[in-house]
Amino acid sequence: MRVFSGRERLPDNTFSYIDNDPLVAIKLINPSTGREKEALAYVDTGSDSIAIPKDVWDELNITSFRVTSISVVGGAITTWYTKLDVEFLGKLHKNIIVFYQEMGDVLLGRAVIDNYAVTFDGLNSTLTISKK
Amino acid sequence: MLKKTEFEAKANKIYESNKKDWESRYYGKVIAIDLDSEKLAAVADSLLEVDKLIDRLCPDHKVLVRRVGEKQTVARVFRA
Repeated sequence: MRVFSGRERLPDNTFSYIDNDPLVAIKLINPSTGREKEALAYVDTGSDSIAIPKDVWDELNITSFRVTSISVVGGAITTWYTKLDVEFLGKLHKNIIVFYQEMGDVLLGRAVIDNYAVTFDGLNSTLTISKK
Repeated sequence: MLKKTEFEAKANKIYESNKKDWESRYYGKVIAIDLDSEKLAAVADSLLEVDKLIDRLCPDHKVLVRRVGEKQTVARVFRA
């Protein structure tokens, strides 16, 4: 998991890439326990919702979850999912489906980012996110 | 945490025993298989809709959510 840290914020909700990746700060909130976790999430248009690795899942003390089948690179897997609240750019998104994965990045997928206009500027390594 | 393999094995068994009926009625839909009652718990068009139905109908039951048909996945997570 990427470690949350401050970074330069450019004008108009434009963010510079971190380690050459389009990462944004989010806060994950377990509504059952109130447990919170800040993380840097990879803005991922290839994911339908959010995915979090085991360490984040454990830190959020998720005890209520169900099982489903999802498509991943290379095929399909059976995994757990739960619903969390997600704070992003000062807005709270409630009851977002969050999938468990053994390892990897926190992925911020379309369940959240479809509420925004997102522009990837690979030439300048910046990400611009505007509210609709 | 419960073992996924146990969930999968039991859900697959229930699915296979109802496959003909469910695929004729719900092909392409997202379903929740109730592992406690061994019955169909909910049917909808998406994972989120099915999950809301589970919350209402059998919130404390063990369920497995899948799509009916050959392609059983309900969502994509493409950066691993």
